[in-house]
Parts: sequence; structure tokens; C-alpha cells
Amino acid sequence: MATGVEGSLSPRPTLFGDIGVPRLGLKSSLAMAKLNSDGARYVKLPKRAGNRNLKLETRNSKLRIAQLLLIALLAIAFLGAGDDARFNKLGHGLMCMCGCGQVLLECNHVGCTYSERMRNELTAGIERGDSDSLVLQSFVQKYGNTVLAAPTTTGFNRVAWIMPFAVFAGALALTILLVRMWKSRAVAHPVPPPNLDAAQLDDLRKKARQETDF
Amino acid sequence: MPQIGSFALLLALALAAYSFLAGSLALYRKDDRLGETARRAGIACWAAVTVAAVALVIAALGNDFSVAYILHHSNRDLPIAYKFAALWSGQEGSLLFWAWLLSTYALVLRLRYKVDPQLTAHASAIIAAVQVFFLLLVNFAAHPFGLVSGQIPADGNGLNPLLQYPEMVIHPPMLYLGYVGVTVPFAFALGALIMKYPGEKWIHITRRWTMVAWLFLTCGIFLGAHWAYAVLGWGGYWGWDPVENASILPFLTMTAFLHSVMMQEKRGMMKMWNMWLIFTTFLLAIFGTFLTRSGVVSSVHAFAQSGIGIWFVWFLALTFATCVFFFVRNRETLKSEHRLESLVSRESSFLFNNLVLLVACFAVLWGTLFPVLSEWVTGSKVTVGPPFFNRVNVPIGLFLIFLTAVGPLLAWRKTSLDSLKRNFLWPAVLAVLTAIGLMIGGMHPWEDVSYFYSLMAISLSVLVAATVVGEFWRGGRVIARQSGKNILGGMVTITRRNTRRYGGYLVHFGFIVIMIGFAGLPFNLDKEQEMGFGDKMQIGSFTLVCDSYTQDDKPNYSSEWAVIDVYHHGKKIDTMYPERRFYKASEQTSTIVANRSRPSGDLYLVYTGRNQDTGKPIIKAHVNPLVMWIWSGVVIVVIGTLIALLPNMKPAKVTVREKERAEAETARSGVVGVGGD
Repeated sequence: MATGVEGSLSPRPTLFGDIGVPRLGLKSSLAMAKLNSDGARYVKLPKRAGNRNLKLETRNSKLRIAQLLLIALLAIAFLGAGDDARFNKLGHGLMCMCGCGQVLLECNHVGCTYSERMRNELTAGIERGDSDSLVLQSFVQKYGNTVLAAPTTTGFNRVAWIMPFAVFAGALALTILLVRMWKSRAVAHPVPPPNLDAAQLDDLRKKARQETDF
Repeated sequence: MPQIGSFALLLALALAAYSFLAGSLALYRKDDRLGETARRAGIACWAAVTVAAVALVIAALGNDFSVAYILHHSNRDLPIAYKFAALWSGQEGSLLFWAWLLSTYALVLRLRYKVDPQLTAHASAIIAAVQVFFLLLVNFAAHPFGLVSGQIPADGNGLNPLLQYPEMVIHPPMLYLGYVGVTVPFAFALGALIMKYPGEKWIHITRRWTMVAWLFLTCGIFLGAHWAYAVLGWGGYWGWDPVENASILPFLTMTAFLHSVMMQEKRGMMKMWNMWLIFTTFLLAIFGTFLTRSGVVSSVHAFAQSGIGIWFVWFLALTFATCVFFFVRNRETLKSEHRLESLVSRESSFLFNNLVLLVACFAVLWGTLFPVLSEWVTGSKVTVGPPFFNRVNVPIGLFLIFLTAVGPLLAWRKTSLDSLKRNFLWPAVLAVLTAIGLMIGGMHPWEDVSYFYSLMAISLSVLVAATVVGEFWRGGRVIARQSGKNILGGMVTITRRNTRRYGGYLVHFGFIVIMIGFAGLPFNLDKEQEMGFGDKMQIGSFTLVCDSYTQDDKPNYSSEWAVIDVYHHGKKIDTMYPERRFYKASEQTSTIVANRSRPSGDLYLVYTGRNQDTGKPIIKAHVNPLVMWIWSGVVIVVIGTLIALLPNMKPAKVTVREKERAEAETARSGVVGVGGD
């Protein structure tokens, strides 16, 4: 099975390498299905463990169904992803280098000398059958890092992606801590039975109204 | 005119400096007469800056090309409205405009000093200090009345064609009114801190100022978005450019302030937090200006390259140091009066609301500054564009919509789970049904993460809408029962009785309408095609047929355009005229978009150019679903804010006869419990 998956990975270096999810083609998905259906994952158990074996088999059947469903879903998803979708996706991940500061496919800069050429290069890369990472890498080699519309997930650029979520998590934890701390500080006093005259009650009502009118 | 303008600016600087120094001295020595002279100097400063601004406008209207600023931003054939707009079209003019707006805000504050003379005197001195900074800038760093050396050209270079659009006459003033308006609550907050102001009166005084500034900033941001959509011709309205980001930073912190300030008013909590929120808002407004005018980050907007950045750095440092100094010195006056009693309460919802808004603010700031940081650390610059901002901010935005739904349903202090369930059940059911309906209708979140975000945005928006409608309904029903009116009349009455609360709900409603508009983004379509006579283009459910194409010549520009017939399911529904103009003075080309806007979506046509070989026009068509919802939502937000600014209607006093009162008492004694929040 491992061989099957490895064989389906792009042999070319990936730009988003280490934490990027490998893209599986339709062929590899079918290969996975075949390997999963040959029963290689069953564990042979002694006869006395019949019930356990049955349970394991049931669990494996469920797992197999889940895997097949996942594969079917992936296959459907990838069947829909044609060249147009790739062009659109990659084109929105690149910047036009004419200095207009716009995403490549959104550059409508009249008389732009770059966008047309870059779009043609993108189309050519897709038609050659280059992987997404190779297409992007060729653009980086030609135009520099600034051609990518967002930082990559390698090296120092990782910080760009991690920091907002780290701050969010940190601030959330701090807020929860703060709320708990504040809450624990509140001291509950037993409320004596009300023995107030009408004027005092009116005052209290007024205060309650004032405190709850937002 | 240039001499009058220059002199007026110098005079204004002197008056602002006097207003600051004499005002501060008067507060220190408790000298009311000296304080009065400072106040009057501040009023006179407004008159001097007004003279300077009028002098620049007259120079533009009179084609005085001896003034370098007019030479670079106007020309003889420019329509009068755009000549007027030349005041804020460039660096120097816009700074003068900024100084004028600040003086105008200060004028209103100084004329209304009787609201609280002591606090206003503090605020006036602080505003005078800010005025000194901007007047120093326009006098010595970016002088709008600088003269042309050598021979004066016969005509000017003209205004950037992209700015020759009616909305551009409104958008910058709105944005500046928002930016500059932040100075007033900042001045009141710092003033209150300096004088150890007892109580929350300063909050009441500044609340309206803050809301007005917030309203202008909101209008400015969305007018800018609309301008980008209608003029730039790329089919989008928000590009996450540093200038755009700079405007959203103070907007987010000000929104957080407008929410958390209620905790201070009602429960005496979060005083330090609120103080720093308003300080941060002001610092971000100045920081944004620094970012976009210093050339530190590259931007597609104007003003990107200039040497005034260092002035802003010093001003920011000085302001920050002042805030920290007085905070450390007087922080004892900012202790909370109450503690949080429950996690499920209005107070904690405001805390989380602040958290989300500030994290969003940080994410935008971080993305804007990351190219600079990356270059500094690695020596290599990177681009942080829309894919980054969308991926980071969309989940944060969804969480914020969820809080918008839940927050108003929580009571102050503590909310029972039963009450939450009671108020939340039906909105939640509606939201789930919406999600199911959308999935059945073809929005499959498993196909693409952007579809998932759209589905979530629309479903959560329905949740918010249902809770808002529920709040109006419950309030309206109570009034209807009491007064015998119908429910709609009851809703109007309850809104008039508590304008801030119900105006706020309308603002929330407006924002979720905007969010629904944003949710259409992943379903945009676009197509580009050369279109000769009779050529057809199919995009979405529309068929476009080129009827003809032609050209024209006008004094300010020459143009060429196409006449496109639009068919929907075989029936002709419209004719559109996408156009391209060549502006003679600036020798620049610009597109004039043809847009057919409907609630379901926009059909947006751009004349991108002409094929040199065939002479046929090239048309780019976009189908952008739900965009109209964005602009409609903004209108609702504006209406809601205006309602929230109105004073509450006091309930009418009714004379109750003794017998009726006794009957009412008897009836009331039968009531077991009182609900509501």
C-alpha cells in the first residue's frame, strides 16, 4: 500500500513541501482502492479468538467502506478540477508584476505589458502537465518571491501564517483565564429578605432598568 | 492666492501653538482667563486654516499653475467638481484638508465647551497639540502652496483619471472625517485620565463623537470599496492593499470600543481597557497615515513615496509616551467597580467580541507589515496579498458573526440556560434549515473551502437576522400589549424609547446583510473575449451580443465604447455601454465600467482594450453574485447608526386614578415571575 501512495506523489520538488498535503490524482485513488480491497490488512488470529476476529472484521469492513467513500469523494472532487479550475486557482495565487499590485487574474491595468505574458506562461505550464508547485516555482525563479500572492509555508514565511492564529489562541486563553479569575473573585452574600419602603424599591427598580436597558 | 494661503497656514500654526501652550498653562495654574484666550485662539485657528483651504481651492478653480500642487493635480479642462476635489487629491492638499477637518472638529468642541468646561479645556489643549503637528507638516514638510520654479506652464498635468469619478468627491472627505474624528474621543479620554476625572461622564460626552467618527469611517471605507468596484474595473471591491488595510485598523478597534464602553457605562468595568482601546484607535489612525504616506509598504494608491514618514514616527512615539506616562501615573482612577459574575453574560460576550475584533485587527496589521519584517529578517521581500488575508480573516469573521448572534441574547450579569435556549432555539433552527437548503440548492461545502465559508457566513447571518427580528418582535409585543398599538407600531415605539439598543440591532442587521454580500464572492464568474459586430459571449445565464462599437472626442478626454445587448434565457433585458477613456492632460487611460446591478448579482462589463490587428474591442465580463447586498447593508448600517445617535423618547406620563391603580395592583399581584432581559 505504501508503495502505491508513494508512487502517486509528484516526483518533483514541492514548493510548499514539508507541511503541504500531497495531491492525489484519480489514478492513485483507484490504486489505493485496489490495494484496500485485497484484504491485506486483515490480521490472522487463532480460532479461539473467533469473536474478536469477527469484531475486527466488522470494524475493518466499516473502515473499508469509509475509505471507499473518501476515495469516491476525492475522485469526484478531482474529476471536477479541470485545467480551467487550475488556471483560476494558480492565477489567483500569483501577482501581476507590472507594479499595479493586483492579483494576476484581476489585473485589468490598461496596456499592461506583464499580465498577458504571465497568463500565457501559466497556460503553457498547465498544458505541459506541470504540477502546481512546479508552475509556481518556475514563476518564482523568473520573477522572484514577490510573484507569489501569499507567503509560502516554509522557512521564516511560516511565521506569517502561524502568528495570527497563535495570537488568537493566546488571547482566547487569556480571556477565558481572565473571566474565570474575575468570576472567582465575586463573593456571594446571602440576600436578606427585602424590607424596603416603596421609595427604595423604586430606586432599585430604576437602577435595574438602567443596568439592563442595552 | 499662494501668498495668502502660506500666510494663513503660518498664522494657524502660531494660533494652534498658543492654544496648546496657553491652554496647558491655564490648566496647570487654574487660570480661567488664560484658558479662555486659549479657547479663542483655537477658534481663530479654524478661521486661518479655512482661509488656507479656500485659497487652495480658488487656486485650483482659477487654474493658477504657479502653485506646484495645482500644476500636478489639475488642468484647464477638468470639470469644476474635480477641481474642487483637487484639494484632497495629493499629499500636500490632503494634509491641509486633514488639518482643516481637525480644526473644524476642534471648533465644534470649543464652541460646546459648556458641556463640561474643565474636561473640554483639557481636550481642547490635546487637540491643539495634534493641530500643531499637522500644521507643522503643511508648513514645513508638505507645503501645498509651493511655487513652480522657472516658467509657468500653460496647462496642468491633470488629475489622475481614476479619481475623476463622482464618488471620489465624497469618499476621501468621509474617510478623513472618520480618521480625524477619532482625535476627539482620544482627546477626551486622555483629558479625563490627566485630570483623574471622576465617574463616567466623559464616556457619555464622547459616545456621540465616537459614533459619528465611526459612522464616517464606515461610510468612507465602503465608499472606497464601491469606488474601487465601479472605477478600477477589476470586478472586485477589496484588494487588501495597505491603504485599505490602514483604514480598517482603527475601524476595528473603534468598533471594539463602542461595544466595551457599554460595560464601563453600565457596570463600571474595563476602564483601563477602554482607555487603551481609544488610545490604540488614535495611534492606529496616525500609524495608518504613516504607513501609506511614508513609502514603507508599497501600495497601489497615491502618496506612497515621500519623506514625511519620519515626522509621523516622532509624533507616534511622542503620543505613545504621553499616553503611557499618564496611564502609569493615574491608573488608580481606572479600577473596575464590579466583577464578572458569570461566563454566560453580556459582559463576557463583550470580552469575546473585543478579543475577536482585536485579533482581526492584529491579523490585518501583521499581514500589512510582514513584507517589511520578512525583508528585515531574511533580506528577501515577500508579497502578502488577498489569499493570505482571506484565509486568516474569514474564520475570525465567522466567529464574530456567531458572537453577534449570541451576544444580544445574553443578559447583564448572568443569563440562565433556559432563557438562552428559549431565545436561541428558533434562530438556530432557521440557521440550520438555511444551511440544508443551500446545500440542496447546490452550495456544496465539501467541494471547496470557500463554499464552506460562504455557507457558514449565510447560515450564521440568518441566525443573527433571526435574533435581531426576535428582539424587535418581543419588544414590540410588550409595547403593543401595554399601549394597544399593533406590533409594528410597538416596534417603532420601543426603538424610539431605546434608540441606542435598537439602532445597534439595526447596525448588526446591516452588517450581516454585508456579510451575505461577501458570501457571493466564491461564485464569481468572469470571461474575456474579442467582440466584433454581432459576436456573442455566454457567461452564466447571460448571453451578450455586441451591437456596435464606436468612439468620441471631448475636451478632457477621448473615448471608445461598445454597445452590448444583454439577453437572459433568450429575451433581451438590457443594453450596456462599457467604455475606455484616454485623458489628454495626464495622457492616461481609464476604463468606465458598465454594471447592471440586481439583488441576485451584478453583470459587470469592462472594455479592456482593442485588438490592434482586427480593431475589435475586447470585453471582459464578470457575473458577481450578491454584490448589491453589500451596498444595501451599508445603507442599513448608516440608518441604524443615525437612529442610535438620536436621543431616547421619554415614556409619556399617565395619570392613573386611585381605583385604576388599585385594580392594576391586584392584577400585578397575580403575576408569578417577570421575564425579559
